[in-house]
Amino acid sequence: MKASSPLFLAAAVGITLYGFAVGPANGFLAPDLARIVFWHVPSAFVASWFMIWSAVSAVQWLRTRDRLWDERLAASIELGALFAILTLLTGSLFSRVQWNAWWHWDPRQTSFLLVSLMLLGMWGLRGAFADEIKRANASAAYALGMVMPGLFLTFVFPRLPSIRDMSLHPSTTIVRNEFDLAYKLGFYGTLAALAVLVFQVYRLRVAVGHQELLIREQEEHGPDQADRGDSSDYGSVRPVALPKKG
Amino acid sequence: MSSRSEAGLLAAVRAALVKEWRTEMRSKHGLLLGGLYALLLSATFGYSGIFDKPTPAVAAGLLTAGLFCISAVTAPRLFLAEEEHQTVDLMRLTGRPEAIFLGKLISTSAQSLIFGLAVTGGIALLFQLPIQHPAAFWGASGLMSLALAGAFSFTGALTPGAANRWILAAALGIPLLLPQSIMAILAFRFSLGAGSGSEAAGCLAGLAGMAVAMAGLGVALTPVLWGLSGESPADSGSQTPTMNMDQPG
Repeated sequence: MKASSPLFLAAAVGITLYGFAVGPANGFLAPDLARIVFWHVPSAFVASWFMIWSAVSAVQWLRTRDRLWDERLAASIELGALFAILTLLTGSLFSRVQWNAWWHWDPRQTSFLLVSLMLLGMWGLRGAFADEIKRANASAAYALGMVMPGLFLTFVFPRLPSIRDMSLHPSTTIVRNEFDLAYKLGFYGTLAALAVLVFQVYRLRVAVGHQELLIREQEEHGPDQADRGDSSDYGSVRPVALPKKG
Repeated sequence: MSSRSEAGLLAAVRAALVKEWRTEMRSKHGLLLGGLYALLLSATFGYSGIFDKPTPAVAAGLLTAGLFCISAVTAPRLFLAEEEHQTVDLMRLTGRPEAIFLGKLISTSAQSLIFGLAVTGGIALLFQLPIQHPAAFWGASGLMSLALAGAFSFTGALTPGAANRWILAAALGIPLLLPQSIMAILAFRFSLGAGSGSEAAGCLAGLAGMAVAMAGLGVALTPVLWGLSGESPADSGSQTPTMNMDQPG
């Protein structure tokens, strides 16, 4: 992260300046604010990636019982929720200027609100269990449970014919490649920079979680027992071989 | 799975179902509440229909809301309720988790289906709704009832042992249930003469998929969720947790 920080900083500054330099989009009530697409849509993409990655992490945790996968699941949920909230905030700002209301109950706005609630609900679920393994299992189960409704709300629902026809939200701009070149550059540039940033933040979050886990293990069992993966968390008794007398 | 273990599972599911049925017959909590709500909802919507007829979209919303209410009251013995009655540990000792989940799911689905069909039929009758596509209407009613029962059972199985578990189950359930309500509204709306058939068919398929997915996840994950309150996960078929020291990223 340290080595790539100046690079990312330069990219972020460059993209922001580019956003001001590119011309306003035609056909909008407030053409200047159309540039918000550079941050709004990539944020939604990132939130969706993390939602899917949380399900992958859940499967891996249930399959391998490696606690690092639970840390990855937690990091995915936290970053997914953060970017879902950023998507809602930037969308709400656009809605205020473009449609004259902070919240319009547009199907796309509403469906993404539900996706955000799912991700935030996971935070609530993780906070409700004191036992780490119980927490990991319950959140893995919920991550798997939410992925199908989440994908439906993100990708299917806004494109249903009757919903698409009544929605104010553009939903085919990227699929049909309707950006002009200047906007295409800004959009994909931001997406790439954001992808690099969130990947670095994700790695850091997982590393911090891993270190915390090691410290907790050491506090509970002592340094020599930190990574034995024994079943002492469950209070089970294992048979041990005693030395023979005489 | 071998035929012997399949037979064992079926017997365990049957035993869980019998237990649910006997408990229901003792208190008749779900049956009485479900019947009462079905009557009340049908009559209330019917009275309002004397003054004005709803549009297909509004009627679809009312039908879906009715199904929500019915499912909530006909799912009285979720795992959360068992925990309140302090019977969870007894169940954990006596039965296979997946069998108990399936027994509860089948019992909840049956009650939800019966009262769901009754309430949507009652509302349609008293509102004199013009059902243009009966297959879509009854399909939406039945599949939505099953999908709701699946989602309630799944979220109910997630939260035992958690702090504020009832509120948490509701908070987790709402985002899972709302996509189903969208699909049910679109299918009901088509059955009442608005919207497109292909969209309604897609929504019915989606509802069926949600019901199957929730049931499948519940069956697959209940043993894992149960393996944590007392015994080693190895006892419930899962592996012991480990920690990989090498790759934190």
